[in-house]
Amino acid sequence: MPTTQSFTEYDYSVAKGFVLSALLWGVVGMSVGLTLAFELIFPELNANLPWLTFNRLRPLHTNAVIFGFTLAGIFASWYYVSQRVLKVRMVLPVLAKAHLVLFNLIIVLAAYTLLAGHSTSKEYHELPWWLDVVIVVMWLMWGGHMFAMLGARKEKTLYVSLWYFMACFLGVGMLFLFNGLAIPTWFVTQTGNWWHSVSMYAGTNDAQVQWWFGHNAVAFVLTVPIIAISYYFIPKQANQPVYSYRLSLWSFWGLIFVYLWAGPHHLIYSTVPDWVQTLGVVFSLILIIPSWGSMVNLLLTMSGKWEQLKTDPIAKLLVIGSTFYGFATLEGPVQAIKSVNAIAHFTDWIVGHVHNGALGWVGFTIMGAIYHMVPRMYNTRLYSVKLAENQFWVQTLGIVFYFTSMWVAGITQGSMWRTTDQFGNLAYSFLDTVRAMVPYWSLRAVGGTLYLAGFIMFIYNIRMTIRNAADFQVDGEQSTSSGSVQAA
Amino acid sequence: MWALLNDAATQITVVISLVILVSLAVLIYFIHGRMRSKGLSMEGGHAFDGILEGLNPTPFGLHLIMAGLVGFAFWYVMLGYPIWNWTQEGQYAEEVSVYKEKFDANWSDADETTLVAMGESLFNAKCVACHGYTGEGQNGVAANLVEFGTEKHVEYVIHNGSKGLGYTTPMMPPQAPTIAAMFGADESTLQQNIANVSAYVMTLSGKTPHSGDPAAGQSVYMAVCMACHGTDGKGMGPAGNIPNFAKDLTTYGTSEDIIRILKHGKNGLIGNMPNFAEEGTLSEIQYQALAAYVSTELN
Amino acid sequence: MLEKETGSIFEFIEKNSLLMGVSIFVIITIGGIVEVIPSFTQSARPIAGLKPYSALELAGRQIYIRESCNACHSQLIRPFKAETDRYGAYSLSGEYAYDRPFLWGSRRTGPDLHRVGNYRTTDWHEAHFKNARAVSPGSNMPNFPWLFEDSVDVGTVHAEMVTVRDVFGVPYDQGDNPQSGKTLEATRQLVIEEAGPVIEAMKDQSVKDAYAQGDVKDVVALIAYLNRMK
Ligand code: HEC
Ligand code: HEC
Ligand code: HEC
Ligand code: HEM
Ligand code: HEM
Ligand SMILES: [Ca+2]
Ligand SMILES: [Ca+2]
Ligand SMILES: [Cu+2]
Repeated sequence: MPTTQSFTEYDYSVAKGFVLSALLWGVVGMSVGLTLAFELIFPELNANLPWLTFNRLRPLHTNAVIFGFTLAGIFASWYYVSQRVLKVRMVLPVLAKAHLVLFNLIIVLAAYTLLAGHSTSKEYHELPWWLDVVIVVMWLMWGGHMFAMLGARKEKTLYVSLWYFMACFLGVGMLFLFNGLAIPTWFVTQTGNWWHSVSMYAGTNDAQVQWWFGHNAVAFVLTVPIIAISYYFIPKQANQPVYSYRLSLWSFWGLIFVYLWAGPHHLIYSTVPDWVQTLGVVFSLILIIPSWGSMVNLLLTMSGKWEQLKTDPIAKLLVIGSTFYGFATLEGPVQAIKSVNAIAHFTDWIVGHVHNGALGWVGFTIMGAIYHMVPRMYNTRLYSVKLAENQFWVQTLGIVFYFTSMWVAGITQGSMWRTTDQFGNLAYSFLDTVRAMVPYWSLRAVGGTLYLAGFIMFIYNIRMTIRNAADFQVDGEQSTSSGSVQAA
Repeated sequence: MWALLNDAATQITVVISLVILVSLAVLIYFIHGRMRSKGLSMEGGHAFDGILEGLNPTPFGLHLIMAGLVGFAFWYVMLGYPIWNWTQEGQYAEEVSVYKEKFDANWSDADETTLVAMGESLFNAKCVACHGYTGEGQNGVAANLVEFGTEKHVEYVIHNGSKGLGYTTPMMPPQAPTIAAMFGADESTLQQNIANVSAYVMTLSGKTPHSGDPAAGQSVYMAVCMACHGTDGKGMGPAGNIPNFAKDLTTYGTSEDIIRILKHGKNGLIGNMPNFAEEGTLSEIQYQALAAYVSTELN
Repeated sequence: MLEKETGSIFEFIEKNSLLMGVSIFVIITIGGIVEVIPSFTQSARPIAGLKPYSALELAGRQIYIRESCNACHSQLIRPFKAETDRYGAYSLSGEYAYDRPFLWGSRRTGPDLHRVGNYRTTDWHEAHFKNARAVSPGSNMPNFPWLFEDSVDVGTVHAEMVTVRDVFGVPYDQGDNPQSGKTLEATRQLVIEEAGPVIEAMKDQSVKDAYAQGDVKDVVALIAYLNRMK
């Protein structure tokens, strides 16, 4: 194995900060998610307080897990991986630290504005215009740092992970900006709330821009940078080459091209033109190829490593994470087919699909990456492999509960809405179909509880690892490299 | 539960769900095999932080899947949902016309029992939100339809009055005070008179009263109610010649009456009942079915 | 094992970070240009008879957005018989011409509301917002008691109305379209005027008492908005 530069030459301060942010926003976001799951069964849980109602908490959940937890995991990985694959110490550390601080400030402000109801209602773009401006600044700080690192790099060729990180930066930047265009009403009239704005687009046009954004927010936040993470941590953890450069190439360019066409699958049977919908469906199907290309490439990187998978929970998290990616990217295209979407749209099956991606793919990959990074950044070893192993199984069970219940729930409710009696009249009132969901919602809540419990085990493990760092200093790469992770 | 499977889209969905599970299982089987067997050669291209880029070819299976998908995509755009002549409005029009044809063939002259059964399922989908599954009106959210059409409801109207059905006379004031003034104010006499006139109103629409003495009620009716509802009860005023002056009691609680209410709505004293003609989802036979159910089963 | 081709275009891009960035950017713009931009020439036209939101309705819409009712409710009736039987005629693009933002939603935890004004009534909504489970046993919709306490934010309504009128040319004050307030005070009068008939059909005494003092509660605006959804 070629020698790598020793860790001491790298500056992990910001990566460490983002790891802690990911833990914090992860536990906050998932606790809110679990609250939502219980509120659907026991609506009284909101105690008749506006800030605790399902409707105000739901956007808080999505924002906290996507922009808090996931982005923090992505940034942590970026600040760790970029130094190592570009062979250069973190440049502009002040900018990077400011990025960390501003990021966390934004999430706090986001939580406040959402709970207070300052929402724009556009999914995954709910934050008020002024916060959008702050977010753009934060994003440019990251991009600035990214290009500064690229400029200073000592490694000429860009590793696959970097392609994906760059696509994340550019894609999100473009999408977020266009979907956020709005006119703050205070500037026009000097009356009313200063944070209020109206969208630049109306009706069907607004819907099209929103889901061009929304679908690709999934692409460029919940997929592309997570692939970046996997492409570094899976081969690293397995100490193997990436299976195929050619497949990397194919999957990357294919993915970023095709993804942008698939947005209309959120608008099937809506009022957007038929041809747009049909193109959206067809490209959603084609999207299986680059998606599975990445998954196959990542999983085959583990060729011959079955034994390691049995004993190494970190490898397990990463590999099962990629497997869930395969699951979600097969399920998604299927849900995009018009006659399936007629049933699936508006139901819990979509929510199940979301969480296959979110819990299995995004969550597992980020936790795997953090497990890999923390002992190396703190120059120590993992506190407890056993605990990580148990966490893995608890969470896997949680996901299984989550997606099986939502799958059945979605198809059941979607069909009940359409079911007719012998006369061809609707057989169920809407409320009948709500009551029929309660058993499934309960199973999902069990699944969510397990997943959150696993996440808390994870936090404890990381915390103890960091805390023991002072006592267990180990020799850089050696003792923490793959396979030899041992319980303290 | 299994009835859900009678729907084409549901069938496609279930089949495709199984396809997902099977393809995933096949894939995992394949990759699992690779993980158990041969390792990767550690030669390779460039190394990044110790990571080599393998130079394996792209798996043959992926090429196959791609060919299949591109084929399916062509089918979808050209034949499944042809991009130049398929429209969702067209698909809808066809769905509705197929349904109508089938419906007319089977139910256009349904008998009373069939109508009641049809009405019950419509009621459960459309009306329970306000009237509740039992039809009793959920403690005053809406009218109690079990009582509507019976003497109980007539008594209720005599005590409370009624408004909002859209007659020339905008409302019927409570009549109990008048009856008390004319026929005796003490509690039990009043009760008796109200019960009797209610029984009489029942006979106007040809129903058999369960309680009260219709013959005795007739005199109260002629003294008090006739002023608006007319001697014959047709609601055409004291002289019986003003159409739509007040409610036609000879149809009270009958299918005809209920259909009129459904099509008109009622901004009443309890609250507002929507106007189903404006809502626009019910066909004529569905009105009849609802009316049959409300006027027989629920009473 | 194959050899990695040297001198390929990809190898060149991978060594030049700026070119990499530009290539990525060009590729990701294509989908949007083909699929989204053409529609902008067509779909914004209002259908005949569509009126802009009146002051009170707009206030209700802002409350709908503040509470994120779209987290549970859609406003899009798809062209299936099962949906048109339940909710009424399927939705048309031109009906949304004044919707900024659109509120189609993506999860129907509760029913679609695009035509709810046809089959639910003021007093029903009132009872339902106070206590959803009293009217709909087994519902999981939250109760919204604070809607009966908080008052309509006329300033923001005025600001939005003037903005869409002046910036986007929404045709207020034309024909029998609703009026836009010329001044903040005028908008307040419009709100109060429109609230009258709604409050008349309501039962809550505190809402009526507040109205007598010229104070319109949030719930009134929200119901006015829902009643308009036809
Ligand atoms: C002042 C005129 C007037 C008098 C007197 C009057 N009614 Fe009526 N009645 C009406 C009108 C008008 C309606 C329709 C009310 C509405 O729009 O809901 C009506 C409706 C009714 C209804 C139907 C209510 C419903 O829910 O469908 C009944 C039953 C009835 N009247 C019985 C009586 C009886 C019995 C008396 C005498 C004791 C009486 N009315 C006296 C004017 C009158
Ligand atoms: C949004 C609530 C709502 C829905 C939905 C509704 N109703 Fe009603 N309905 C009412 C209310 C409120 C009243 C009482 C009006 C009053 O007298 O104040 C009423 C009254 C009635 C009456 C008696 C009217 C009278 O003259 O006293 C009949 C009959 C009736 N409804 C039938 C139906 C049927 C059949 C359906 C379904 C197709 C239905 N309603 C749906 C709210 C509703
Ligand atoms: C947790 C989910 C949830 C939230 C949040 C929610 N609703 Fe509902 N809503 C429901 C459910 C479930 C029903 C159907 C059962 C019922 O009638 O309560 C419903 C029914 C309704 C209905 C009756 C529609 C019909 O066809 O019966 C209206 C109107 C309504 N909601 C408006 C709102 C408004 C306005 C808000 C926001 C202020 C809101 N809802 C927030 C779940 C929700
Ligand atoms: C090939 C890849 C994918 C395709 C074609 C796809 C397709 C779809 C479809 C058809 C929907 C439902 C739209 C609707 O009817 O409402 C959907 C929703 C969603 N998907 Fe995917 N999906 C893919 C991968 C993923 C992945 C990997 C994730 C990662 C988490 C993800 C996250 C989501 C989210 C968050 C939603 C919900 C959007 C909403 O709020 O409505 N998807 N996807
Ligand atoms: C303990 C773990 C979690 C639980 C219990 C949970 C629960 C929930 C619930 C109950 C909803 C609302 C569904 C509905 O409206 O019916 C939801 C929505 C959502 N969650 Fe989670 N969640 C968890 C973790 C996550 C994570 C880690 C992510 C992302 C990284 C995520 C992303 C989302 C998204 C995108 C939606 C919106 C889906 C849509 O609109 O279709 N969740 N979650
Ligand atoms: Ca925003
Ligand atoms: Ca959604
Ligand atoms: Cu999508």
